[in-house]
Amino acid sequence: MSLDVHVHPLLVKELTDNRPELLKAADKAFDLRTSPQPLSTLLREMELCEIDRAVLLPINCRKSQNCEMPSNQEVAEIVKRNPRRFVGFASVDPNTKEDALRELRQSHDQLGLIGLKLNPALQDFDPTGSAALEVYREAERLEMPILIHTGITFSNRFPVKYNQPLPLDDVARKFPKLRICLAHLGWPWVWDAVTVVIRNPNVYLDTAGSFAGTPVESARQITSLVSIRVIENVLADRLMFGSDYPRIEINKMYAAVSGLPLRKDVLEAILERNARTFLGEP
Amino acid sequence: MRFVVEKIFVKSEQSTELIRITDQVRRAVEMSGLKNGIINVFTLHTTTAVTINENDPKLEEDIARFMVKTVPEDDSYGHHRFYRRDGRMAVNAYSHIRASLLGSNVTIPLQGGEMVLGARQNIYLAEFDGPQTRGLAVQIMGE
Repeated sequence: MSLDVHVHPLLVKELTDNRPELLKAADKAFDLRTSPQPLSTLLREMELCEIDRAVLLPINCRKSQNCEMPSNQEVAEIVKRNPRRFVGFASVDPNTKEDALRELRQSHDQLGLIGLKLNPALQDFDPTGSAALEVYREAERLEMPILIHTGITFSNRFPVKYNQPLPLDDVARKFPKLRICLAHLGWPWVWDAVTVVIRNPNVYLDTAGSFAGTPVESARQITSLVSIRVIENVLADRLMFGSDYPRIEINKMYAAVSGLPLRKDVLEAILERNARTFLGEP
Repeated sequence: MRFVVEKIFVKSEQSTELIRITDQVRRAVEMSGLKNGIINVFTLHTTTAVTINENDPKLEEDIARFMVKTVPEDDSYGHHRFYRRDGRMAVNAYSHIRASLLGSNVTIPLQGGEMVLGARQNIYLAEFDGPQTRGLAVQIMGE
């Protein structure tokens, strides 16, 4: 059974019916304008490719965009209804400083959320700034892994400089017990992301849609930009499967990644084992 | 002459499949209260189609398999690029093309409150980009 570490429970019909402003947030803040689908569609996509569990990632843009996509509470409720299928991450806005730290503790202690999702460009914060460092420090203390967006965002309304992977080398060195996933392989700064991973044993990568083409084209870029030898010998215990649902269908991304010409044991690690380590599971 | 539109919803389970919707269309026609006229069943999506064929599960699989074989996934489609309208990569040109080959609607006569269908005819929603929840409009024109 496999694990998808990168799912956005954003255009879930049960949530948008209850809170229509999520549709506006998806459009204006997340630049996503596809139709909401019921949770059953997400679960069925997982079933089609034997994805056992998915990590649900909200994004808290309260200060920069005046929205939460969705809220930590909404993520916790989905997980509560489907505890065997979903793992919930929280999101806090580092710009809110003390409030962010309080919300992170509350998400961990009261909502049962076990990790943290950040998107510095979308949330408009400097990932190496003092406010962010306080959030990382608290996440490390709470043993909450962080999945952070790295790489391009197509909307030029956001400062793409905040999504470069290389500055996160400082963060990884400063917080060596904090597990950090650089999402989307940092595309197009893939080698920068790989550099951070090679230097820091606490840093991971995910395969989530790289904006480089179809799922097959996107997955093929992994083995064309980074040689198979480097993936098998250096990244074998650090690369994780992520889809980026609903920006891409889980079953399509799974078919593409599982079809990569990699050793069987490496593929198995990418599809499950590395995610379990990242999540802190035995 | 009256014109009535009823919407029906179908949940697909596979990426490509034919789903029987005759009973749902029949219920929509009954809801309209019209007895004689013409029925149009129209999909509200560009990666699904509506068709009529024999209600044999093996034939349903044959049609789905033929469409997959005829329009391959791994080709150099112009549609496959970052699609600002949706805010994501467009990755399903083959789904759109398969849907176009079967068409977006079918027309069925209505007589005495009953759909006039041959003994082996079934109405299908053809899914080419599932699983998803899909909507169809059933328009009944008559009296």
